[in-house]
Amino acid sequence: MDNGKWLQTANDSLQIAKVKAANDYTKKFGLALTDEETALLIRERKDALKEQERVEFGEGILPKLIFAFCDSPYIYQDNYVDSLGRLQDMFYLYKNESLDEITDDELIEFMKDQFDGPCQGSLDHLEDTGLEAFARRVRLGLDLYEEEDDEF
Amino acid sequence: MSFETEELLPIVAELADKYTGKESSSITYEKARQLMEAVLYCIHEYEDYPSERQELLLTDRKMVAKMIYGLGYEKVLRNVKETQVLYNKIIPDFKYYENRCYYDTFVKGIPSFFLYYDPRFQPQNHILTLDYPVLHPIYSLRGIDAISAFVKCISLEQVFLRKLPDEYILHVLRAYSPDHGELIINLTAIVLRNVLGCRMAGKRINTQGYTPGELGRLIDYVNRNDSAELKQDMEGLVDELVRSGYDGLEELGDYLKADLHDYCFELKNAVENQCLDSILAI
Repeated sequence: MDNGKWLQTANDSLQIAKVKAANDYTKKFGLALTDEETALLIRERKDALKEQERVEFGEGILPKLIFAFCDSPYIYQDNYVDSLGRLQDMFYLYKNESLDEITDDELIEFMKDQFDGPCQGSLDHLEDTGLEAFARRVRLGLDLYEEEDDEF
Repeated sequence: MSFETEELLPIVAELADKYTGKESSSITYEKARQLMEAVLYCIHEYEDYPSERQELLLTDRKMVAKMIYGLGYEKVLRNVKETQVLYNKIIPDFKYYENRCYYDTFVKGIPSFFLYYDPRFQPQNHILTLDYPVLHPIYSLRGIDAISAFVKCISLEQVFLRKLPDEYILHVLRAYSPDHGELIINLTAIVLRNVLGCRMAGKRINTQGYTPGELGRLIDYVNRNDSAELKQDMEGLVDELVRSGYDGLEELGDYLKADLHDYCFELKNAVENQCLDSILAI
């Protein structure tokens, strides 16, 4: 039982269907995923989950990320797939970094606020500064949007 | 009935949903393993009690697994309730005979278990280390099974000890070690050994030591038999003791007999090396 394989569960068809269904909504923002792009994102999701040692049941986080970020002024068709892939990786990483103390919606909301705000669409900036500080605040049990005292 | 992992995954997924309050789509491997263990524990709970098994007429194995898990979970809850009732019955008259480990494990530890035990998400974790060493081995048990077995053992110990005067029990414990209050030892075994010693020596059970004649009788008794015969004789003595003093309580007899194997070897060794005072209140 504990050979670990069961921890990498996958319901690919359900995932693909959900992600494809999101196209109906994202079309009005000029964004859409092809079948290949969808399959690529689902594969990346599997790798991210494996790397972060997490198990996901149900429809997964990708549709939520799509709905949250599709109206961002910094996301357009050319960088859509890459951005979703990075956001997905970051999401699982910072779920772990925040010790599962925050809900999916809280983390996505923070990511979106930072991405559209201080990070101005930079995924590197979001990952290395905004999310890093956010996870630290969560671990310390501080208010999620409170500024930390600068000790320098 | 054994299930494939895939048949159990929907139950784990459901538990994960309950655990996160549907606010997180993913959980860590560690948490997933814990939930899978919880499911397996409940299924084993159901399977371990054949008398309570029901005929399941479902053909869908996933449904069967879910139903068996549900029945096992109910069994866990019932077991917790029953153990709590037994604990509440013991605690008003519970005596710990100055032994701190006995007191801490039973009076402080067990209520904390009932407070923090999580039958839904971690029924396999009994939280406590159960430091007081009871005579029945419970180390292979987990969750409420371990606590239930432990409380039953303590219940039998209290039945046994309460029939004897406190002064006598404290006398033999002091003879065993002046630090008996701080040691992690089984009190029942020490008292039983002394009671059986008295029977073998043909002396009354009292706080006075052994006369040379009584000691000689005891040594003769031990030397007459090898360990196996000695154990058989002692089982007879325990049966007699339980019949005469404890209304033939069979469970108690079985419990007390769990110590006889070690006792026989130690007694033979003590006679050979002339150190009977290490196990009896000479």
